[in-house]
Amino acid sequence: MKELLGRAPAGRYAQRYADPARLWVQARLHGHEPPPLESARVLELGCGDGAHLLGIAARQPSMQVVGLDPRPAAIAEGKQLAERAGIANLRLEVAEPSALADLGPAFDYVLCEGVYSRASVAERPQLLACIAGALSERGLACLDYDVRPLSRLHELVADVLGRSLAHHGVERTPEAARRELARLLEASEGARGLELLRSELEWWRQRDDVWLRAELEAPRQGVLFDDLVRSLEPTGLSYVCEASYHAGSVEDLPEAAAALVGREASPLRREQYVDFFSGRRQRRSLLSRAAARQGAVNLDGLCCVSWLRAKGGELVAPGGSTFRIDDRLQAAVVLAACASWPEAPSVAELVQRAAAGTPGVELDDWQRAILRAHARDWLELRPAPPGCVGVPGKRPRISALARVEALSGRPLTNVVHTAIQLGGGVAGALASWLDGEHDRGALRARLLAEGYPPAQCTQAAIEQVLGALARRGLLLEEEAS
Amino acid sequence: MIPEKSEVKYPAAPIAATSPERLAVAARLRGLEPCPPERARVLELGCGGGGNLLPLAASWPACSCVGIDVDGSAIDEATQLARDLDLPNARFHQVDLRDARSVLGDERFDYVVAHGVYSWVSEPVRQSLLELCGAVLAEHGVLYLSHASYPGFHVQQVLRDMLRFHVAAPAGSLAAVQQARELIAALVAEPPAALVAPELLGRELLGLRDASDVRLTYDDLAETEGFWLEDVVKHAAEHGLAFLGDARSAAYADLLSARRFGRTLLCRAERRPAAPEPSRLLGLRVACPPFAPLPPEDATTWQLPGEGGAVVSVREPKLRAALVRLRAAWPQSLAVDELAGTVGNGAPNLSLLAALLQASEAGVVRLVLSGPACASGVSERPTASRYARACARLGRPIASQYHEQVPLPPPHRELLQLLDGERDQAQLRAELPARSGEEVSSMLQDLAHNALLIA
Repeated sequence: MKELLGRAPAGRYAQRYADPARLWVQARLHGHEPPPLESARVLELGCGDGAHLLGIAARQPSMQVVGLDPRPAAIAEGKQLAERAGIANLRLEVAEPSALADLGPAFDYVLCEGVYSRASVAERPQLLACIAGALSERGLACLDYDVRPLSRLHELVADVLGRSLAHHGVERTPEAARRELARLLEASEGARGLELLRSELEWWRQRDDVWLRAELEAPRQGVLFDDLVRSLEPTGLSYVCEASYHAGSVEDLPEAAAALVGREASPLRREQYVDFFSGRRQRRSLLSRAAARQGAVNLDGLCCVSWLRAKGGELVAPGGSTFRIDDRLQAAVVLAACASWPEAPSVAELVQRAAAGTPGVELDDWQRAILRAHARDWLELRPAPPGCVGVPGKRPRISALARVEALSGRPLTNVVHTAIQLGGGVAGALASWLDGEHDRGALRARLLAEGYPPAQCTQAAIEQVLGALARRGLLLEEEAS
Repeated sequence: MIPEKSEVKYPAAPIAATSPERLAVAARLRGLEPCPPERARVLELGCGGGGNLLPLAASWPACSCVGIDVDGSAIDEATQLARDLDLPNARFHQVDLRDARSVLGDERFDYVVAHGVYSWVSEPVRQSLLELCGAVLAEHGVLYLSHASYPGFHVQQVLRDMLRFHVAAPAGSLAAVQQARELIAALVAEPPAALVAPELLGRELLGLRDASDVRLTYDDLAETEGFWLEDVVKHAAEHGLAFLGDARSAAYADLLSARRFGRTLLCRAERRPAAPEPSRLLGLRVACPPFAPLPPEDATTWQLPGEGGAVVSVREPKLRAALVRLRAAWPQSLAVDELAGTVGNGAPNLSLLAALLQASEAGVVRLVLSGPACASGVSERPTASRYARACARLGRPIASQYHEQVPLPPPHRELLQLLDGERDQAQLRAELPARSGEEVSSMLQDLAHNALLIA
């Protein structure tokens, strides 16, 4: 079996929910005092090519960031990217099997993505013990894992596919898997009641080769949240909260379910029911050795940013889907955050702006509305303003890291640690040049010199790309010239 | 594991798929020479209250039935009933599976039935189970082994996980059933989007909603280990056993069938079973209850619902006419040779035989060796078997002459008890003053229809 930390795909990208900045906010909202971000020591176990860590290190040069992975090629690639982007506070290392024992309790944030579900039942306690051992006293771990019961549908396909390939004596390659998935899909066509299996097979068939290979070599297996929480006991870790609420919370449950779950006194047991009724298949849980403080949630010092756009009474998500918010207060705070963008007002400031149109509401109610909107990802509470600009200036600038990513054809890490897929062509080329030195004329000249068709190099085309970069949180303040 | 002391009692019911007659037919179709059931030696592992063995012992005096179970009170009940009905050919032993050899000695069995054991016991007991089967199965014997089966079991596990978490009451208690129903109700009231696929909502969730206390206790809430058929077969091979077929369908290793319950037939590895062959239907008998589906008159292709959502397409224009004849003959069977034996030139109608085989696999017709001794209709002195009468009296599940469980309402049970062949219809009516003559006649028709009256 391959070494545990090397079983997830090595090609990584920025994950907003596994960013220490996000973890810091979530832990605070749940009564913890997380270690300060400025001086934090961050560790990722199984970092692959380190692409998730690049943005974290680049944004906070005073942090010390370490990534461990057993694959030398992936580590070499990450090191090269870091060097090109001028990131000095990131140490990527090829993990020796003994590395996990020698970490020492020195890390404030320990990240572990895609590893737990690929660990065998015997390896799981070891992984948790290793995470616990590496955490500083108030440190936070972020563990990503598949959750049962619904992850069983994924396991079903992995099992059927694996058996099927073995049955036909075929090697477990992505190409063979894709052929086999197509065959199984075809065979399931006439059968009634196999919609679930068919949609799962179809979903698998659309995955890329890297993903398929990882699934075939180390199939993922979920764990019941309740069982995970129990398994934390010997490690001294306890559950804090989720990095993302995504699939829902007790408040969002249908009536019959809410009545049943409402009788549960234990918040952890309630949390388990949420998985049942929301159909959640994955969790990114925050774990800590420290206990939570009791008391009211303190939103002081947090700021609010929303990536939605208000358009004719509706809200437009970055992906283009539109929706309305029924709750009056939640709508008011989200609209105020949208109107403020790219500025990220403090909670107090946002309440003031929202209250201007909706007077006579208690501060507590506003804060509750902000928390609900944050839970639904309509706005995000952040430790500091993201520092992006909404309108491209004279000499637009994106981060050195994003320029390197654009040059390498990778997704770009934006100011809130989200991977933005640009596609190649003019957009990719422009992004790689935005160092704050090029004005529009220089950009256009360079595009033409590099042989891009003139029709794609018009002023309007360039403006459109720059506008999109701004909208996705990639453009930074320009140096005053 | 199935709770030993349970407030929910496992009913002593016949399990049609385990009937030696069916197992014999399955073996015959695959080229084996099984022992005729009426003088066979039958062993049931986990026999409970004897509901599956006693009707066999009662029908076939020369058939010797042995049942073992760890549950002492169930064994006592079975033993008592065997004594009351004067069935010396049915013996029951309270013994742990791991020690079964101590009571079985060197006895060999032509049919070994292990229903609801393999997936529901601990690993060591599972090992002993197949070891025992390998040791006691006769040379031409057939082993029936049921187990929770992948891939369908994956889907069932989604809801099992939820029940396992939610139910806090001890296994086997009525409180556990109550708690399970509470969660099921909340899920059914507003099914979460993730569960609305037909496999989950239709088959599993609504199945749970309608499940009996017995099913919830012994299946959904019991600790269960799922297996791929091929792994069961590999395991059996370690004990000199080979895959013979499926007790219901010939489909082997169909990865897409979402079945979650396997009824696997095994034989001694030396027997080398062949694929089911339609021509081997010749010499068998076939029966078809009038409540089974009938192909539409104008259709050339008949789509039959198979297992796991599969569709069985039957293209045989003569099948309909054959089924009409069979339904008219029910509850008696007809010789296959008479139905499809010859077409003009004396050769058998192979395509009709193949269609009958398919219809049998889809559960539409029943293939039997000699067929039970059913009365063709309601005679002047209608007679039910002594065993059926005793079950009616004791409130035990009733077995038809086809070894199928017949759910009977109380008035029918009351009538069934009286059918000793001594009373004529007038006497029956006189002994049931609360029922009109018409009602009694109609109830007798029902009993005949359900293959409960014997010739």
